[in-house]
Amino acid sequence: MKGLGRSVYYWLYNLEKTFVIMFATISAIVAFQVLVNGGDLSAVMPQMYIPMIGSIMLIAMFMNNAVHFIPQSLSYGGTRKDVFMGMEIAIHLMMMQWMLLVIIGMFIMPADFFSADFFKQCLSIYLACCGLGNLLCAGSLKYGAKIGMILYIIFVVAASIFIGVFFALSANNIVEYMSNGASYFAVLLAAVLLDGIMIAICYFAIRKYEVR
Amino acid sequence: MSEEKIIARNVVKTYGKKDVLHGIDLELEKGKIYGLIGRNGAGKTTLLSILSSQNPASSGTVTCNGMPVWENREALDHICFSRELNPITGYGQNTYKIKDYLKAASIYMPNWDQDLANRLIEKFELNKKKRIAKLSKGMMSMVTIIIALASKADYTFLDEPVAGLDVVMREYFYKVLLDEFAQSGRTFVISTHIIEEAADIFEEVIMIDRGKMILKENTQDLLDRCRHVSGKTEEVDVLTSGLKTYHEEKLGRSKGVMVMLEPGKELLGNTEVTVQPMNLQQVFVALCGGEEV
Repeated sequence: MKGLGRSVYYWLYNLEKTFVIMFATISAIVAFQVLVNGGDLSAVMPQMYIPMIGSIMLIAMFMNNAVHFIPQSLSYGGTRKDVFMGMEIAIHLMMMQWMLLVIIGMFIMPADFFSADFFKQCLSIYLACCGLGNLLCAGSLKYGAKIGMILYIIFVVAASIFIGVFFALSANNIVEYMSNGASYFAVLLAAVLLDGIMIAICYFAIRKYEVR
Repeated sequence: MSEEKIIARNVVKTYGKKDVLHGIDLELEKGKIYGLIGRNGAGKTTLLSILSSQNPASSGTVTCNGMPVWENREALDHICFSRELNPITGYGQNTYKIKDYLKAASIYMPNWDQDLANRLIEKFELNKKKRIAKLSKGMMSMVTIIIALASKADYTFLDEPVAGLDVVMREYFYKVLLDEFAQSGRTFVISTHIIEEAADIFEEVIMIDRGKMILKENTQDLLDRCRHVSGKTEEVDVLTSGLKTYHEEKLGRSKGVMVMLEPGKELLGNTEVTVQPMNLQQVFVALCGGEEV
């Protein structure tokens, strides 16, 4: 393998491991709660927990990247460009993996639990969270892990509140309006733009980052 | 074809308003072991991190075999800088297990020698499942040594590789290093504070003081021309007149100084003055440890 291939392999290896550990932990907690509550998943885990958990996982991965994986890959001789591209490819694949789990969930969960609208909402939310994660990563690289941790808490709380409010309004027409047609396209475009802009900011932060 | 060497030209590094490196010019040839010595904060680690492109220089250029090293993966494939591990470093590597740390190295380093890594792990009696943060200082040094040697990089930089190692393991490290050097002809740059012990393996020594490279010379040639002159002050002054003296030490009416002679020249002592050869540590202390006279 050459430069970018090595970098992508490194990032996929490490992020997949992180993903599996996080997912297994969350699954174990949910399974235990379901068991205690007599097998009623809906009572234990409202629908909004899916985007909430996914968002927290994605943002946590970016924090991990800034503190662990970026310094390590640079100190092992990765170029900044390869490290950046490897990270972005791998983390967006992790996001798609989470979306795949949502799709699988659509088939194995009760029909009213997952829907096409829900899938679309999740996609926009996860893309926006990748944007926040990239900003967090850039902030952490530039100002240190402590600032990164503060940003992490702020972003996780903000994302959770947003998702909570959004799904609390699910009976409202606004949500339906935002999930269909041109309005949904606008939301998705905004999420993609946010992610794209933050990716660029993260790239400049990696370019200027000093391994210590 | 360009010569096989790393060349740094007028490398300057500034952090904020603080100049850490001042216009370093340096050539590292293939197939040599260099000792990089300097006091704490002299700029050794900064220099190595710039030579290996881990950090950018504020100005100046670094090339490896004729290729710029900055953001050049072809050049970087020839270089490994195994950083000193520290339990309090904030960038998280110390939370890895040893096996994860080595796995990551094996992915990035194109010539990684897993057999050598396994042999060294066994020899150092390291538990691969142990986290870096749980290791003693000496064990952390062992991990950095394993990364450096198993990388099989043409130019390998080690930052304080023997810090915390007991004398048996230090001896073992020097032996393995020399074996590897003899087999592969790789270039090693070793930054260390344990100067006298490592002096015998340094073919050349590079001395850095407050961000400036003050000396780069064959170790034996350097020692051959450094002399410590001591005796009555007047006699010492007479004998060393016209020569640049370093690190003057006075004791009553006597004094001692170091002089660096031209190659092939010799100072002859007399009953009043003693002229002695010096070891590398004494030369280092004389050049970097005090005010020049």
